[in-house]
Amino acid sequence: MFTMALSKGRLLDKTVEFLARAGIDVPEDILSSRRLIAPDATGSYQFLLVKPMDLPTYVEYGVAAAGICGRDVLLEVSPDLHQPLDLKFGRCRLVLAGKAGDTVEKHNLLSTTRVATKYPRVAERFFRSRGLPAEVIYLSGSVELAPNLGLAETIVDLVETGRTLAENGLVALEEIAESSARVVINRASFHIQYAEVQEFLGKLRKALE
Amino acid sequence: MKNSRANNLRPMIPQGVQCYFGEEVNRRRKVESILAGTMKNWGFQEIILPFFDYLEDFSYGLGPHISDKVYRFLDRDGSLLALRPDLTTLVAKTVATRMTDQPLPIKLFYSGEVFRQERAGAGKQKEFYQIGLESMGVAKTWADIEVILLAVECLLQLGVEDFKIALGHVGFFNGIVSVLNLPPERADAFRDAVDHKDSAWLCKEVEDMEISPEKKRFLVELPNFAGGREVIDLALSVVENARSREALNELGKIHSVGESLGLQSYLTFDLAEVRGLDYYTGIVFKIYGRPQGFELGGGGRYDGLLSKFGWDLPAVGFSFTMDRVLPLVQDAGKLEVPSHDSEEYVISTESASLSEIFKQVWRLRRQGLRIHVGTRT
Repeated sequence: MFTMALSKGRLLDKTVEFLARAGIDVPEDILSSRRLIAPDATGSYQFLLVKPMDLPTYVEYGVAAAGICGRDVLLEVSPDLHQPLDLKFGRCRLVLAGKAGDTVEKHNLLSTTRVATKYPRVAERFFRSRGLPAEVIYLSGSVELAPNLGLAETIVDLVETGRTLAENGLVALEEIAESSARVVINRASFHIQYAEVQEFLGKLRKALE
Repeated sequence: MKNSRANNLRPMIPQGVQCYFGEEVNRRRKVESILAGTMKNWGFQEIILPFFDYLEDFSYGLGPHISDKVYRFLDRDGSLLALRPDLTTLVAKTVATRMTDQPLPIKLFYSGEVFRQERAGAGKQKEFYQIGLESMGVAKTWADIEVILLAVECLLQLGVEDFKIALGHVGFFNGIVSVLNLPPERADAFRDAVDHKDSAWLCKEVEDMEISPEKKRFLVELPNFAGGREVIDLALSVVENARSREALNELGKIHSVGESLGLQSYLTFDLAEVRGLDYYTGIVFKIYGRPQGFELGGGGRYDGLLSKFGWDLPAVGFSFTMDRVLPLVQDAGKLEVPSHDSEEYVISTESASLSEIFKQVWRLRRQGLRIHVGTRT
């Protein structure tokens, strides 16, 4: 049995739709969240439904042989995994955002700036690579509120259409990275379950054409 | 009574250290003795190594990703010391400085704890137990083959059968990269993408390279050169540079020997295996086993290390990480650790004078009986 982890939330519907096109049917039990783990009808796949940020961990430990998650998650978690396929859906951008007219450097002339984010490591790397001192504040949600409340000057967040930013009076100041759905494979499973992995990747590649 | 002591104790332990007791100890010792016995049978002698040495000496054997994870401290004269983050470097140093009069190859095995300040998780501990070996003094493929076959035999001796040794060769990738003439930063990014089999990133990396479309397609496909023997033949049909071809031929030879022994099902190839390029100089391999999500161990050829200690000697070796091998051995059910309960006799301290008790106990123990002195309950 080939165990595969799926991300809850933003990517789930598109992932299921894509897998169906590849001839892999995710069982209804998983979609309705009645069960967090279930096999497909053919018995050749087993699915896990997990939080996006946790997904790389499940695959890295080999609990699941493969998984589908956003590149944003991979950039944040930096897991030691193979990332053989870009599935091209779920496109969005990781951006630095703030009030209109701000620039990255502005707040840093004299002192450390504060940045609120769900992506603390991405934010840390971004500011460090610029040589800018920043205090990264980790939040698990509603990050867009931070600049208006004075918790932080800027945020690092995932942006799909930019509507949420606009509604909170924010604009994207700079793009940090592009993101889309990626397939990840455990390094041991890649060799131990070689035939299954190749068959799985083959189906996905075909669906991409 | 027992619990009243707890208030005075510090139950905290530093993250990433461990202790073992009871049956766990027996199991570990059993696995260790099977591995050590197998290595001895193949002509390897045990070497016992120091727990710390000069930091600088370790730096020769470690990539930059490990050197910042070393536990370091000062000697009384101010020199920097380090808890061993690795055992191969210590073997290399000992051989190059103390064994120069010995016939080649010098074949040594070792076991013991190594220490690294790893971020906790992802199967990593700060203290972990390795058992491994080094064959020093032979640059030929037969030395590589012997070491790989021994890695196979070690697992078979433990009753583990569902495993793969994924073989690669530093020369294959280096041959390809040297033709591309990339600046160091680009070369690192390229290598990183290959390491993660990240085709999407590779597509971007090759976009502006001044090479033919076929070559670009080959570079993007590079991560997919993984699998059985056919991978070698496929690569030979498209790669032109001499260095890569030589590497492929060496891998082919290793496979042929494996096949002639009926061991080919344990061997697989991953030409996109590019870890440790600054350290390894020839074959590299990773050992994987179901259901373990992490590698059980790995190794390869490192012909440059001993010269750092004054003796230019080629070398090849590998090591297993005990905590990753052990669960597979238990799954394989090969560890029959005999229980000694039946031989145990308890002599109560309440029954007679202490002299009488210990006279009796001494005599019985000398007869080979397992005697436990205790209080009758």
